[in-house]
Amino acid sequence: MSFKLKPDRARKYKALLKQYPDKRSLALPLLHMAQEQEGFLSGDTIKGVAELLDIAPGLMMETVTFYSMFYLKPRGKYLLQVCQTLSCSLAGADQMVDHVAAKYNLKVGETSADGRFTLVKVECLGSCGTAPVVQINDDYYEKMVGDKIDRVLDKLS
Amino acid sequence: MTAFKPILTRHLGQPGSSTIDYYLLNEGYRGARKAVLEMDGAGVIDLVKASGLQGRGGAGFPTGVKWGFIPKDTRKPVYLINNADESEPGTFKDRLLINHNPHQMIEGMIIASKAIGCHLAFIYIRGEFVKETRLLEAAIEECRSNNILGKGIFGSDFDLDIIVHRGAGAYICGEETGLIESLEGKRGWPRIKPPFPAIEGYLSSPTVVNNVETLANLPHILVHGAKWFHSIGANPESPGPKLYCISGRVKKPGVYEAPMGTHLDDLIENYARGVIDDRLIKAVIPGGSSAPLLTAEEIVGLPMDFPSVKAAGSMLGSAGIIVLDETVDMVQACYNLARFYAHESCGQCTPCREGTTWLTKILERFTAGRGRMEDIDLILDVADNIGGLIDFSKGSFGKTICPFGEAVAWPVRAFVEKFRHEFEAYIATEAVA
Amino acid sequence: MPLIKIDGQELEVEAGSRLLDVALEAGIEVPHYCYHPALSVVGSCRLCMVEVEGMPKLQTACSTPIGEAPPDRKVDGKYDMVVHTDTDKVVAGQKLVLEFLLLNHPLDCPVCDQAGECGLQDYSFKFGNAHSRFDEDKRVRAAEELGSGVAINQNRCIMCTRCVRFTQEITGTNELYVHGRGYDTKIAIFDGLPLDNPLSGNVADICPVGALLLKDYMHTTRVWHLSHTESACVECSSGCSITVDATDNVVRRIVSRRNDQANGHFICDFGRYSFHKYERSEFKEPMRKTPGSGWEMIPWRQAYQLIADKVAAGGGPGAVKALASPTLPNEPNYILGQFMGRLSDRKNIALLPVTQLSDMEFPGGFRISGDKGGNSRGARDVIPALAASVKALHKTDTGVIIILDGDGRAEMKGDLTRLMAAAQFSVVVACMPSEVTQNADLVLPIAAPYAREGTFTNDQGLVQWLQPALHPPDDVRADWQVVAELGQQLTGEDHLYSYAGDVTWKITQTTVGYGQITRFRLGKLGQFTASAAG
Repeated sequence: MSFKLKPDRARKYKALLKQYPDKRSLALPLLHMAQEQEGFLSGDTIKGVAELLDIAPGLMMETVTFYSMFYLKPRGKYLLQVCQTLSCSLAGADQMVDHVAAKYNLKVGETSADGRFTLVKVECLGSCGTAPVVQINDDYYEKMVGDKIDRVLDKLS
Repeated sequence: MTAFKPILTRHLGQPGSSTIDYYLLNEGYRGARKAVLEMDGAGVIDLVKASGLQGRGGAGFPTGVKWGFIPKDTRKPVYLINNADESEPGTFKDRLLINHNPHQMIEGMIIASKAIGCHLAFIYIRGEFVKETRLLEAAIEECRSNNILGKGIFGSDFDLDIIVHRGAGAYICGEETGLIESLEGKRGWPRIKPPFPAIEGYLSSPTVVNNVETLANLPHILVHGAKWFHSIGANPESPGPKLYCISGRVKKPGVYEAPMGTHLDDLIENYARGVIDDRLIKAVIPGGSSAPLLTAEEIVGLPMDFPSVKAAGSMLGSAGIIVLDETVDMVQACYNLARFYAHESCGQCTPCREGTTWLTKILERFTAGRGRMEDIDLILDVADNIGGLIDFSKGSFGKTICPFGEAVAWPVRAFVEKFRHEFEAYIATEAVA
Repeated sequence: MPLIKIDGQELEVEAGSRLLDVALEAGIEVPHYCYHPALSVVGSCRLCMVEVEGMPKLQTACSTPIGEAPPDRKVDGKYDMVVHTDTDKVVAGQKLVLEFLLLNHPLDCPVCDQAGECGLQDYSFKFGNAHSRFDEDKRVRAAEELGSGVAINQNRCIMCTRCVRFTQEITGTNELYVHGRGYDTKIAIFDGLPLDNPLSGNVADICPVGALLLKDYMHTTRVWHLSHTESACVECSSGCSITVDATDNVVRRIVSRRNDQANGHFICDFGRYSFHKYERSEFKEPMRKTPGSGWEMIPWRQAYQLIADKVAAGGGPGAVKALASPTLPNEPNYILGQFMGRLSDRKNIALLPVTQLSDMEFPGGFRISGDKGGNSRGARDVIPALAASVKALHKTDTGVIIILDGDGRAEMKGDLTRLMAAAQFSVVVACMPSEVTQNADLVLPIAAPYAREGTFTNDQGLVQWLQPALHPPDDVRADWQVVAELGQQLTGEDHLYSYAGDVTWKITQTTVGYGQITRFRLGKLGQFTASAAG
């Protein structure tokens, strides 16, 4: 299956093309859009993005694999990214990871059997004042102490 | 001290503080208007030089001087990039500024653009800040429909547009040439300098990269003047208001605005309300995780400004203060940070690519109870081999293209040197067990 | 011009030169991996660090440009830069980089093709430590195929990225890229887009360690058993400088040799692997076609006599036609032109046609010539009375036709087929079977390309010396010798040449544009003809 942006995103891409002084600079915005649309970045998607930007697929892959937010494989419906860097760790992030892992019976890096949750540990999310922090898809959930994480997770369908 | 009223965060918590209507009602865009309508670029640069404003991203380089490096006679476009790739562990001030008052920062960008002759500016925001990206895009749209951005802003002949550009998860893109590479759609491998970005930056054009907080200061300097700004704080070499991020084992972590030079122990005790359960402080990281930590004794009466912290053997950096109390396991903490740096090393330079993971592996072995006495000196040596010795009086001795090598070497060295006994104890206790 | 001092050696250098280039040119060894003179500077391996007076940090020599210092900043009042490459600080710096590079290296030198010519071995031996302090698990990765000709041993890679820059900057094909980040970075190809461009083999040449390997050479020999012969490639008219590596009188591999007058740093894969073509059964002795269309071996003397008889029977010397070879050196072509001139006033000699394609040019400036003759320009230079085409030889009756086929690169078609059909007797001088030899009445064997000696002139007019890397079979003779003996037989005049260089000397005495060329001056890099230089 070759990659194609859906109409609203294609329009957005066209608008960005006019704004930016250079085509290759659109790599990150376009990859974000492609990942939003497809859920992850398959080889075909990356090739499609490379074609749009007139660069070799290898160079596109170089960009993709450098950044931690681009995923080459499908993820669960909810991507649970628990910050594990110092301030969050001091505030109990490690316990939160263990708790979530036990709750859904999965290991760090895995997706739950029902495909709902993928649990990953990430490095500093830049929210150290409200540690511990978990980012679920696009949103930050801060000060996730005690059973607060449960209340958040239980609301997710 | 009590006389100080917040400047950058004065609208914090006010309903609607992120909207342009609120901002305009509260004298917003007066500074930008002045810069665009009444001043020329050189005038703005001179004003900011006179104010003594130093970059708030970490290096503390004088902002006006940085702008002055842009060639006057360039025929290439000049770019301003607002560095909102806030990723230094312990730092969370820029996100706050964006969320609560995006227009203050955008106004700063207009002023900076006027100073350097930029007509297309970027906000490079870290990829995880999705909500903040949307907020900024909305704020920019508001500006466009109010003739604050776009063609002939404020009715002048000055054009400026701003693009919000999201990163995708890479600490190194906070380094300005890594950021520029990333903006160009590449992996964020920092560039060899020279050429410096002011000569050849984004798309080989002259480029200035300024931090969010730096830019947020500009509207106030334009309105109240250089003298006013210069008088804020105790140290005339490092003036202005400062956002201090306090996290770790304190009762009330958060971002606090105080005059530059506010004492570190004062910030911890009186702003962050002291240590959890009134425990003792073991050490404090004063300026983001790259800054060598200071012991409880070293922080007493330490003015938190660029020269004073440097003189104390660390750096103000991003003013990300992480408080480690007496119960913190320093070996674990050191491992935690080493792992962060290993994860974020871009992989370009040999010492950093190989060394950060080597350090992490040794430290991991420690935490697993398999540390050896000779490893302690090995850690110090590997750290030196990545980042060079810490000798602030003699300048930087980094062994890599960008300062990342130093950013990992210095804190690791400080942990081991200042808390060597904890590393030794780890070996003793675990070996017996 | 800036005046600098490196390790006490005073040097006056072009402003803007790179410190590393200057040091290397002055014979000062500064170890380096990521730097390659044909590629952009990245300064990432950190090995070429030197101490520059006045700078607290060690500087990477590759990324340090040399310029005029302002008068008040000159060292000792006159030097624009003073550099030390052997201080304790520099040595310590080199040691630490080498230690880092060896942490994860498998140290599998005994089975590594690069062993013996490896940057890691050489620099570790000279500058490194004898033992490793790394006591953790090594990073282990599987070897991968990158393309039909090249494989990568990921564990040996030091991430210098020369190969990636090669496919970005030289070929513009972008197959290779850096995958991942930090400790996990590796060289990779995009799935389904292998490294298969016409210059791909160069990545193995420029790899400073044993990571990138030519599959063709893999586990073939130990490099220290190879004899290295500096020669030129004869496969097209670009005339790339090469080193022919052989053992046991067999070519094992061909690698690029830097020549800024010709190919620069690289060679193409056609040239690199061309030696395999000549591994097919070579001719061992003169052979005549027998009535049953089989072949009969005959002694040289008998072969020459046979030709003389056929000339006498077939219309005499004026009916002898000849085709000079664009794939053979100047020497046999020159002799052929000379004796044909003796036989007749007519322009009875033309150039054997070979494949002509359009040139293939790459973004980095490398060019593969479309003229697959290799020495077409040289043949034209040394034969003054050359007919315009093979067709022109048809105008008169053909008795004996002498064809220098060289490497069998001519296509049997059109005018060539007609000419051979019209001839009463055809003699083909060749090293191995081809369509042309199939149609011959007599074949005179000569040495194959890598056993040849003489001059080649590329399409830019650069004359290079072909140095033989192999010995031909016992009864096979040098191309110039065969043609000279044939001329002697037909003209009755002794040829007086005792080795290829005698012919070369004669060429330089009589050929326009070749006057200043001597075997000595040709050296390893060649000389342009006067017409090319002008």
